[in-house]
Amino acid sequence: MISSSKDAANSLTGKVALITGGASGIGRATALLFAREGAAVSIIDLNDPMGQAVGREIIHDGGRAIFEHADVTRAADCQRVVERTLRELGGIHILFNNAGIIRRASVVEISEEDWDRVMAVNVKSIFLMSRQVIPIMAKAGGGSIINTASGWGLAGGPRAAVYCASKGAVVLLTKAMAVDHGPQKIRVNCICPGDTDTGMLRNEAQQLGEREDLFLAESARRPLGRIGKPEEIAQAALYLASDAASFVTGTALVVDGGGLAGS
Amino acid sequence: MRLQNRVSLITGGTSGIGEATAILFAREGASVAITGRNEKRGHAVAERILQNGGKAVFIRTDVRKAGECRRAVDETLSAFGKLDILFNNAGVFYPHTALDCSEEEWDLQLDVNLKGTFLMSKLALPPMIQQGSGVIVNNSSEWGIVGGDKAVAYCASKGVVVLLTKAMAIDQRVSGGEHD
Repeated sequence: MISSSKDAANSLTGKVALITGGASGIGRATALLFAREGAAVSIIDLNDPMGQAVGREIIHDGGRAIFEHADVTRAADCQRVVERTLRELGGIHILFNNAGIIRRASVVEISEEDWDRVMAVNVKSIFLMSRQVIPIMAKAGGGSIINTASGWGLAGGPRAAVYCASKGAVVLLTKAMAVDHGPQKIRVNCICPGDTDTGMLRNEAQQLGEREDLFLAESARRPLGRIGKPEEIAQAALYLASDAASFVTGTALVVDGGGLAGS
Repeated sequence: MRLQNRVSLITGGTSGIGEATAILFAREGASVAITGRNEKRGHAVAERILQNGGKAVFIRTDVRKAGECRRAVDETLSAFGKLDILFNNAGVFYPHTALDCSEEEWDLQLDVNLKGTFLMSKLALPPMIQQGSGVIVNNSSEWGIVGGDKAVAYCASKGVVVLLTKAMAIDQRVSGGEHD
């Protein structure tokens, strides 16, 4: 037997990871998992109490973490969090562009303000964060960027026009960045989660005016017969972040209990 | 040790990706049944795993033949008591356009790459369903998603593996085996 999983290819020992939308849901689960695998984690979010709580949890368990408030749709905020992360954690090897919001509406129903906000949070933030971080990774000899897309970045869904548009953009932005920055040994991939048990999913039921239990039961209609757990999406992020995925770039990794198998 | 106490069966496990996967699975704690047509290489891979303290058997199998696939699953079950992971990895490639691909080479590629995946899955599913879980991983290709030059039969076989995978994922819903 050659090695235990702690020092195997999926470990993040010595790495620094910056996670946007890290205060809750998939971002929180990924922050906790990355820290457990040895990474120092910079948690970025608009929600200060929840973001600070994730940081405290990591430090309590013996890990390293900082929390920084930022609106990732603002270039100055992105620059500030990157600079603080560098100053306090000494580098950025992994960037998880995970901040995202959803508006359940057709193009006829959605307001122009909501359209702009979803596109800014889900897509422009990736551009703003990545252009800060890529030069740092390039200088350090490489890195891994992971973007949260969605199953609805590959297939359309009802009353989710701007969300689908934004996540489709994430899939192709991922591939374009993978092409541009492969020579700098920066791998760029995205995850396409299916419905996952997060505050965002429950909020969708509210937006659609549906009963939460019925909405969740409908979400579970997929080959594995249930919705995903944030921890299961975090495992996909860990794979893409780690050296286990050393030959993987430009991919859209579908993690959805088989939901897209039939579409 | 992410595959502790798991039993895996890897077709085309005597070289290349299959061999590397057999070695990695064993290192992660899985028992490994290796199938392939080359006995010498198959025994060598199994021997390497045994020497590193892992568990492995080689079962000579031509995945084009249902009887040999059945024997591979049966011998895996009798050696290790169950089957958790099937890696349908056996594959062959001959570079030809539709004009110069012989019918024999067409059949060979479709039979190994595609029908072998069907036959092995068909035989591995019942024990997985009986034990309440399982994972099937099929080795397709970039050329199962986009076309390549001088590879008509290979592209055809691998494209079908992509869709066969999705179709089996839908069929093997919960209550059947989990299926990746």
